Amino acid sequence: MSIVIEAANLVFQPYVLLVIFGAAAFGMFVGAIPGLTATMATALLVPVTFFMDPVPAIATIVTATAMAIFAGDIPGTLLRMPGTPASAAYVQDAYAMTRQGRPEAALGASLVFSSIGGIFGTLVLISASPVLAEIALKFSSFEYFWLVVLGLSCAVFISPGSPARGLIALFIGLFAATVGLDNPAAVPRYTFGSVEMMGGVQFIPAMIGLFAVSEVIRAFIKRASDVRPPSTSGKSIFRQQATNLVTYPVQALRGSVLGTAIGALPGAGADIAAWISYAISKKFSKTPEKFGKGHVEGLVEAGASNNGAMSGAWIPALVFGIPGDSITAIVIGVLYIKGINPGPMVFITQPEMIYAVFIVFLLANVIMLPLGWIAIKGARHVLSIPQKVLMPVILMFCMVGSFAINNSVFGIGLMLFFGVIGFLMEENDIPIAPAILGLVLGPMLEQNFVTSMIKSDGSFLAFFERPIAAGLGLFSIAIWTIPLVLWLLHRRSARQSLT
Amino acid sequence: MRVTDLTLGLLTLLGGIAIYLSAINFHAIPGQDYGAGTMPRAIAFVTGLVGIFMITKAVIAGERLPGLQLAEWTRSGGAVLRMFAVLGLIVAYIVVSPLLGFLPTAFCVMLVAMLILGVRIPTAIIVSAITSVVIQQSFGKLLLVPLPRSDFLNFFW
Amino acid sequence: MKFIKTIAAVGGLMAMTGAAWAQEYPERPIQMIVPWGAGGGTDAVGRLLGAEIQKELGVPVNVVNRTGGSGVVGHSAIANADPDGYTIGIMTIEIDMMHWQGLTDLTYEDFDVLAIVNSDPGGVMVSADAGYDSVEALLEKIKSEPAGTFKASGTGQGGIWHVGLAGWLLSEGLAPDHVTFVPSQGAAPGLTDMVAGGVDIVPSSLAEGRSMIDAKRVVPLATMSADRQDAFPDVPTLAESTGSDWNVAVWRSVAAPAGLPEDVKVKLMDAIETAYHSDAYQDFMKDRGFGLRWAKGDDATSIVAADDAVFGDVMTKAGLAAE
Repeated sequence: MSIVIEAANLVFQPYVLLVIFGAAAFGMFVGAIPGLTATMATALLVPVTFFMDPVPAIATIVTATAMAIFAGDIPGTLLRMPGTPASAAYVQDAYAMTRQGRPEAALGASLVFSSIGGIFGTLVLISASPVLAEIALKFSSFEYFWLVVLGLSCAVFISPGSPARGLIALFIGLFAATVGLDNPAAVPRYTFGSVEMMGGVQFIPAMIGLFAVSEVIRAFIKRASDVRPPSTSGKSIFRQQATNLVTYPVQALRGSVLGTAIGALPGAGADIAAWISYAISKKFSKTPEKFGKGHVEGLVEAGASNNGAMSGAWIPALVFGIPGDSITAIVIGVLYIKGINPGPMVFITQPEMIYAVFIVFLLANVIMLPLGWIAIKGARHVLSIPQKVLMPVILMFCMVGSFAINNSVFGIGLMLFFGVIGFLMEENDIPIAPAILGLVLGPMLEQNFVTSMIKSDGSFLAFFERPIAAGLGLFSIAIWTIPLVLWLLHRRSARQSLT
Repeated sequence: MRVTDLTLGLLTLLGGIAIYLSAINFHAIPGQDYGAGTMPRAIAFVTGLVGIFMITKAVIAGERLPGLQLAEWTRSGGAVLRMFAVLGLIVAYIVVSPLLGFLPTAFCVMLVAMLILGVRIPTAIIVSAITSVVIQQSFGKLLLVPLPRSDFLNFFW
Repeated sequence: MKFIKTIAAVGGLMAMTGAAWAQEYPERPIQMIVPWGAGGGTDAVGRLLGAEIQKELGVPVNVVNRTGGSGVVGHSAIANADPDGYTIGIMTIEIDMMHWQGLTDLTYEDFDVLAIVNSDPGGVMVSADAGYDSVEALLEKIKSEPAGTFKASGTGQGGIWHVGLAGWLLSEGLAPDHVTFVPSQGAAPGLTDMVAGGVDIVPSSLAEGRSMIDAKRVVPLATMSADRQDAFPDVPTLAESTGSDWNVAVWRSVAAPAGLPEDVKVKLMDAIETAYHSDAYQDFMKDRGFGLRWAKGDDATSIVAADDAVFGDVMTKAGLAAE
């Protein structure tokens, strides 16, 4: 207990609290600008933290990223420009809610349930880090392969309409992911001799193109002035969420648990977590037909999962110094500089530091609520701008955001290409979300499959030889075969009853 | 521009075949059976299957000839022009911004886009100018994104 | 009235910048291209050096990440910039390997190497569960088992630790692919995979495995350098243990496109030298466990050139070079 008090003393200093507040505002600002990412916010903060004490330095980065991740949902919801692949999982629902005049309800849900997921993940981090980290360490490429297969299976479940169209979208994404040099064989593919193409398809420009540019193109065709800007209801942001919590407690819990668990795996993270959670939510929902049309249920579950995974990612990072994503990688670097070497020893040698970091995690997730509320209130006014003025400005942000991701106009070219693809896809009722999923998971699928085959000297059986891999593998196969078997049985009994 | 299910199926099948052919020359990792070609071939295989499935389904449903339905908006010349205009604006930005710098290019792109959508000229000029400077200051100066500079507007940097 | 004041102020500023044109280098921000992602080790080195160079030269040094293509994209961006001193970059060891793989025509000769600022030797690491206590025992086991029994990981196909492993095996009289190499997205995934039981050896730098070594999950058996490393005094060199003369180390350097004016080059090299010796940089490198190494100008270029030749030789023998 005295350690906790000591840790609290490190955190509840005026200077530290001021830093947390400043970092929160900065994270909110960066995240809310379309096209800027939490990773970018973190990288910009690193030089600043060189001159700080350990606790404020960590607090700066942790708070800023937690805030930036939530704020990334704001352009996603209002303008259909998701900030991360994770928020792309539910952007369809969130944006549909905006079109229906309920942007606060969507943003409120994503704010409150992000915070709940984040707090849940932190509590797990505090209580069960070492145990979970042990399990996470048992994941090798065989296990990750099955996890990615599970993630990709979601494409079929999340697609509204025909599964065939969902699969087409998925394979557009998977194919786009094969472009470039970054594959296990390190062979340039589909680069046509261009150096820029060797870098492959970065998913931020692709995502901006598929979601936002296609929307801009549509607005130009309809001559945006015809489109009435949706009015906002002005209802209390938090009161609606209390109702959501009462209606969807299972979803919130399931999202938090699954998110934290998947986030704890160093090779998976928030992206897979949000997609799988969204698919589970739809699968078990009483009203799956409402998904994608402005239904809050998937937002609740995937939002909680997203931030649960963010917290979960710290488990291997703190216990073994293994980064799960670029943000934890940056923080591990800062921890080293500050003389806190992540690893099991740090829990024994510097427990007050680790507990101080935990307290900062909790604070960040709590301070998110009021700051997020202000951000939502402010950002909402974007919608009162007439569409014909707004659309050109969005177009500009799309271009600058696509440029900023790798500081090259090549990103804008990618954005344009995927804007046209996205427009054509939607004209033909092909859903966009599975393409993003394919783009994000494609490289992981390939990497884990090819390296597994090398390790097993070409034997497929190796995918079932390790206990966790066998379990995940059988589960993945069951997901695909059981509905098929049931369908066949159903047909057979239907035919028998006819004769 | 909407294609019928049969056309979409055919396109998907063709896509699968094209990916397969393109992947023939991707050799495996030396000493291994798998490598650069594995993934494209797997994608090609499943894409082809989806294509065949869609074609079969469409044929069973009674489609005989591949077709293309033009959406309502394609009949309005203005709408088609505006669509190409927005694509043209993006291309223009890609080509011009490294030469002229961010500020003038962004201003012109937004101005033209607003005029196309029917914003009144004074409003369009003011909003475009303010937005360009705000983006340049926040991205370029605060967040250190190397937006292309314009030498004659050096004082903004 | 206010408007006129603003105009006057703007005019004044313009006049000032106009006057600045007559000044000597540097008179506007310098862009430092990092060919690797934000948050990685190279990015951190670049950002810290950039901050120190900025203090020295008095103009902003902005770090710009140009990632992708295993470094090809970023290195090309540095080499293709104007050699005016306003674009510099962090050049990494990949420049000595990617042209052998046939990925690009770029070589170190397309750059003016300003200085080498860091170097980390490769190592031999195994999982603690594997039970090896010395690199001799490991080597004996590798030799006694058929080729392909042992698997190693820790970088991409044809990456630096792949070459490092092949070079070591060659120096021990084995075939370069006697241990099968499993490509990974860097040392960290390779190490986790080794601890999870996926592969047997990770030949990456010991600094990259430090947290796992501290956690007693990974055992460092040897360092591929001429002398023991300060941070790991108990880990023997290959020469001490197996008698192999194989050495390999990654380095990071500051480089500019070839053809820099001589005065600019001297000014930049001096600024980098001061930055390298700054407390901030020295402390940072020690805290992160990165190895410090300094060489400038022609000395640095000759180190880069020597590695280029060695890697070309090993990669050709290991079948990693393009035909």
